[in-house]
Amino acid sequence: MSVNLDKAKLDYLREKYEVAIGLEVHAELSTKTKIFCSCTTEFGGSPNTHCCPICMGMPGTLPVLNKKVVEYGMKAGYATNCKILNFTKQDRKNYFYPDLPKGYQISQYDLPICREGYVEIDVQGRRKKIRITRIHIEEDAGKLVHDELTHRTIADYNRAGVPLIEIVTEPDLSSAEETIIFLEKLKSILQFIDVSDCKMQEGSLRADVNISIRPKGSKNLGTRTETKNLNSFKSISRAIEAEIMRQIMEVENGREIIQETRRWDDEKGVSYSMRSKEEEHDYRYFPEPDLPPVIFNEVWMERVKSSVPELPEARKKKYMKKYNLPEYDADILTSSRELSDFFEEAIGEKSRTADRKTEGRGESKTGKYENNIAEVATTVNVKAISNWIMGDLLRILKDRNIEISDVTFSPKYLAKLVTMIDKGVINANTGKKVFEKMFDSGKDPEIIVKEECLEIITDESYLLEIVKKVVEQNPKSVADYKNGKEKSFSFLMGQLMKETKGKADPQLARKYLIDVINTL
Amino acid sequence: MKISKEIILKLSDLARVKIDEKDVERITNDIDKILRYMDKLSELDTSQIEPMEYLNLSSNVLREDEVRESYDRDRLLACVPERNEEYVIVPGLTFEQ
Amino acid sequence: MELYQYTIHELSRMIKLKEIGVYELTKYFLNRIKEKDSKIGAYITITEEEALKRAEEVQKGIDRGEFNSLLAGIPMALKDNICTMGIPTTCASRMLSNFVPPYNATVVEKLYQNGAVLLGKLNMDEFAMGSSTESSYFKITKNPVDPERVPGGSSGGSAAAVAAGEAVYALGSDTGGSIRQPASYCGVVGLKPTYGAVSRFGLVAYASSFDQIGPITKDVLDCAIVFNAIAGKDEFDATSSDFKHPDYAEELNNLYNRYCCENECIKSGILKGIKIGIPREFIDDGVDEDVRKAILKAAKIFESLGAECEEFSLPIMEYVIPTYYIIAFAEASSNLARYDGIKFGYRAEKFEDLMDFYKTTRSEGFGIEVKRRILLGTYVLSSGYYDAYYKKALKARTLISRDFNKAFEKYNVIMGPVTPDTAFKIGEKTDDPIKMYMGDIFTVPVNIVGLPAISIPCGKDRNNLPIGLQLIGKHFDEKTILKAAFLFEKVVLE
Repeated sequence: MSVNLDKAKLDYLREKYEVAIGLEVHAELSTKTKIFCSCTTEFGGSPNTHCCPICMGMPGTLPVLNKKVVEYGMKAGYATNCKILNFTKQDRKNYFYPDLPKGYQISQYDLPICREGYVEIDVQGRRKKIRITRIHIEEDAGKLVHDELTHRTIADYNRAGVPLIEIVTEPDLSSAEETIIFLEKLKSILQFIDVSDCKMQEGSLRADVNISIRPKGSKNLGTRTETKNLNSFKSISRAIEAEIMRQIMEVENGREIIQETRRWDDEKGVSYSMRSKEEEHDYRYFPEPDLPPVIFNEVWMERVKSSVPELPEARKKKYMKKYNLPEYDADILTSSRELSDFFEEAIGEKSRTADRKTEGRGESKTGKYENNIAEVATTVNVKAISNWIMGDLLRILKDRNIEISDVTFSPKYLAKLVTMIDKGVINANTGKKVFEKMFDSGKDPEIIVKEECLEIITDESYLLEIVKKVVEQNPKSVADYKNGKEKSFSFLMGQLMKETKGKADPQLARKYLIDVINTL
Repeated sequence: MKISKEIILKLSDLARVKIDEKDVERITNDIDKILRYMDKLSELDTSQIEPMEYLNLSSNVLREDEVRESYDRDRLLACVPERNEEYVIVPGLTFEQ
Repeated sequence: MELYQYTIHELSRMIKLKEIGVYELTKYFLNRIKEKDSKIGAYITITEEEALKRAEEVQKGIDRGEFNSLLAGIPMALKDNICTMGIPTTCASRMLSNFVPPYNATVVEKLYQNGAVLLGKLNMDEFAMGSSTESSYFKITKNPVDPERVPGGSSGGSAAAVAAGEAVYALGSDTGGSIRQPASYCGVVGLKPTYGAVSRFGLVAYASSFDQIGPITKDVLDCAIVFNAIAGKDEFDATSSDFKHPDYAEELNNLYNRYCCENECIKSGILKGIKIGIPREFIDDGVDEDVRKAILKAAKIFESLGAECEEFSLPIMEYVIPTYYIIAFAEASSNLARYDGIKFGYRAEKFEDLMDFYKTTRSEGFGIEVKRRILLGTYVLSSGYYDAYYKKALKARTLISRDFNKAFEKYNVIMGPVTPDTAFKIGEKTDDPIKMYMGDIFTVPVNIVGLPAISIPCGKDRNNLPIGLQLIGKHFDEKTILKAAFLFEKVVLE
């Protein structure tokens, strides 16, 4: 329909309307076990092997709520400025679908864990508050798969019972662009507080989008539609654009928007109405009689609250103010919790024993070098460390297709390496070599330098000896240089570096080379 | 208000319970009679009364996040009406994607 | 006296003294089932092979001194809604006719730890929905006292098996009277424990906020012995309670020693300080004359033991049936949603699409009463009716609880009949669901409030049918009702 319209006309129509977008974001929580049983939540197991009678909904089985799920829900609330209700309960949401083992989903209805929060985003240099209506915990369903061989639908219940939080926003977003900015922000928050890995490709972050339009200036919200089956930021963005235009064309053509659920087909770039008998839902929520309510006391709430780390935005500000890093650096360094933690450990902002997931990193067991670390941290060159992380470190990670969590050397070693270069113990070129060796072996850079004799050669008599040798072996180049050919000097320097395996102090070497040639 | 046949058919869809055409009237009457009996509750003044959602006073009955071994698949799927080696086969569903 | 007439405590002593072996005893009961059950129809599944194997193992265990439980080696049976690993658990429904759980209910694990020997699984109303065991997909169980009459329900198989001597004891489940009413109709003892006293894990759910498992036995001491073994907190049931409880059987034995040895003066004061309230609504015009007389006679007996009996008014009783049924329908409609023919259970063969598959499977797999309750439950929860029915019933539940708790400020025990009448004829009420529901009037308030209650025989009516006396206790005060019931039983036997 929109194909025939030229761009100007489209832009004109688009301008006539205001758009209100609200989201229902589902994030899988990164607990070890499912929400109501002790099966693993690990992704990618052989079908139906991460299951038990409880998550399969077998007769007589009962749910028992995972404490971590409750706490992760609270954490998500604290990180998004929500109020935490001190009394929360589970409810049954009744509907039939083959991926739902019990014929109902245990979710939360009128008393979710969190409500009334917000997340701030930056849109074209402007701050905008996106209100969070509520966050609740619930269980995921299994997965239906199309069997290519038999053309039948088959079910894998490994995902059934994996814990989710559903984050519902107010219709405060007004474009696809804003929606993506918000989702990126939300994703980084959830990753930062370590409650979800938010991997869209594994389905651990999913969003349904509610969209309505209204003529500019109109106060009342239009009828909204809900679009489902969006599994990448790109498809979310495309689906929003398509739905806005679809609604505009409906209204322009004098038709009414019908409140409905639509399914996005990413391949064809269109959405379809899902209105059918089976979609006519009346969820018949009622309190889950198998689970007593959860009541938070002050001590518990305080403990969870204090476990919420500093969020990316605060860190970014800190990097710019306290460490004078450019915004560009601060943005990259706070793009993930892992990277930011790595950076903070390297610069000594944060002790590495304070938090998680650092145990895996290799560390020299020779205490001799450990003593230097504190000293290094106080005099560390923050900008240089930032450069190393943004440059060499991220490049290697990308080349090898691995994550920051796979890095085996201690972040403190990076600081050491930078200090060694700053102090002239090694030169920049050697630094790159040491970095790679450090990356591969996890070894302390000082040990690498010592073991491989990579320190800069500043020894006068030794350097003079080499210079003399180079001059003797290259009489033609020496003559050329004397006749004014500057290029020949570079060649001689190169030979000198070759002889010293790149370790000669370049300034000293240059001085000696000139001295020796001049005395000829 | 008597329960209508339409409501019974809607319930039949919601509850996924088929009602044969010949039984609709009888079931409608049965259900209507029972509901009329239940209507007795409307006599009770409950305007100031909180609903009793929980029978015992316990709260925070929670589990630690510790993995236990899942069931052996063949043992778990032994009663599945139709399956293959790894999956449960779902009848009556044509796949949309 | 024949072997089948013996109680747990009697047989346990015989096993201990090696007067009888566990294998021999098990074989005896299996033979008796073969002989009797064609007429009674208590069993759905008889686990002969497993029982004999188990009997040998338990005997070895006893010989090695591994069991110190009175239940070791005693043959018993379970209502068929209690999950047993490797043994069909059908809920007397076509829907689960081929279902074999890969796990045991917590109560089964506990009984096995105590050395119990399972004889088989017992008939019931389909999914425990009924008061006569007539809605079973498999068969109608007959009342051993009068085979033309129902054994009651839904644990009709359990009560009939114990009454007919086809098992020494049985477990049943009680959602609205399903242990007490059949116990009463068959003339045996049945205990519905406090909600949360016994784990529900592995009990196929009917109405989750009412369901409790409990024993059906020949006498009160047996009841205490079985309750001892199955009570307690379970990590797999979040609604089970961590409550301290005495050894009930030991309490009763101590009481018995006092009762027997002391002089008449002490005997007549043994229940001194116990106040028993009898709600007038429990003995009014709607109650059969013989039943009322039996209850009033029981009051006299308690008074002779030093207890104080008093009538009082409990007007809220008018609302207990609608309250109970609305909540039960609602929970049932959701609990039974898992039976969809995909992961287990019955599956329709002919269908058009997914919707039709669900509807046909569930229509063919469930019986009429189950379907009726599912439809009603769906109705009371659906938008537009939720407040008028379901929420209203939860509010009524608050009022009923309040009135019962208030009564318990004054009384230690509330007493009345289990049912307004005695066992009715097979087929008498099947066409009138409301008439069937009305029979539950005295049992459902106990489940609404979550209280413990025991049913014990207290005489016979003009047709020589057993009458049941119901003693209701405070939450987790099974001790008091067991004691009262125990002493009552002793006096009646003398």
